[in-house]
Amino acid sequence: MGKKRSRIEIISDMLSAIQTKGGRIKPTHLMYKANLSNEQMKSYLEELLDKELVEKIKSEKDNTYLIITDRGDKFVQKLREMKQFERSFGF
Amino acid sequence: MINILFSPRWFFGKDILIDVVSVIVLALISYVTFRYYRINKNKTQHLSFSIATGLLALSFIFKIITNFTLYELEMHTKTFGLLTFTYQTVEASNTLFLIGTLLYRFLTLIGFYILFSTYYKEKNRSIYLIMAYFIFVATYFASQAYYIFHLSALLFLLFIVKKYLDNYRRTRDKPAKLILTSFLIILISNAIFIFVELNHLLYVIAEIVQLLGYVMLLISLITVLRYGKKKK
Repeated sequence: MGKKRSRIEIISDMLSAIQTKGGRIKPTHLMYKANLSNEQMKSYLEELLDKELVEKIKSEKDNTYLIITDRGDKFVQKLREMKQFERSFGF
Repeated sequence: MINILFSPRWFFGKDILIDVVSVIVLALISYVTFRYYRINKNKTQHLSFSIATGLLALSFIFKIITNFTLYELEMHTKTFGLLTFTYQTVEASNTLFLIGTLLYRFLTLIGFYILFSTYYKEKNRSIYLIMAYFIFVATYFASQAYYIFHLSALLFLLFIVKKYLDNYRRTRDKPAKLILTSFLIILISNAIFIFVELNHLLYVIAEIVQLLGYVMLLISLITVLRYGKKKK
């Protein structure tokens, strides 16, 4: 069994999942892509929306999409740098 | 009376510039790691790394101040040659120098110890007391035997370098190799500093090696951040 992901790892996975989908994803797809339960999805999404890392939009067909903001893009970048820093300095 | 001047006259000021470079590099690393800590407060390694590098930067600031005071004094003595005037200045500067030197040494050893404990976690708190005692002894008695201070720093650095070697063997990536090399060079500079009382030219060599080590550390940091940016 794999190691339990930390809060920051889950956020990183969610944002990266949106990025790999071209910056736009349906909430249900994000839940599967980031391996989250419904409860987790609700709680983490709330945090991401609150911190303005993602935004909710409606399509013409009235479907809800989540898009990553500039702030979210920059945050993912910072997380990647941090990950590399931890790897290189042996944390 | 302790021997306080190791730099040859022609090297006065140049060593201060080298220490300024070291301060900038260490302060930069401290700032970067503190920002990482703010992103993920569960990871205390970021915080201890930031504190350690911050303290090392601060220690160099004390070294710069004391050396600057000392070189100024040396210049005045040579220029004016007024015996009574010089004597009084020496007395005042000696106290300042002693405090500055003790702070430099104490902060350096504490800094290296925190860096060491970032990698070697110790749950038994009594170890911290013992370490504090040894750091105090190494700081204070280094006034009589200058080499004890650098020997103690060298010991911490040996263990830190060992961790970076293990990490490089595990990851095999370029930034880890650069970090290992930087700390190895800093370790070598500390080893040379042990012998500066034998020949003052060794002080020049040690300072230049130290410069090389910290410049390399700056290159390592830039490489780490660049690698992070590239990763998808």
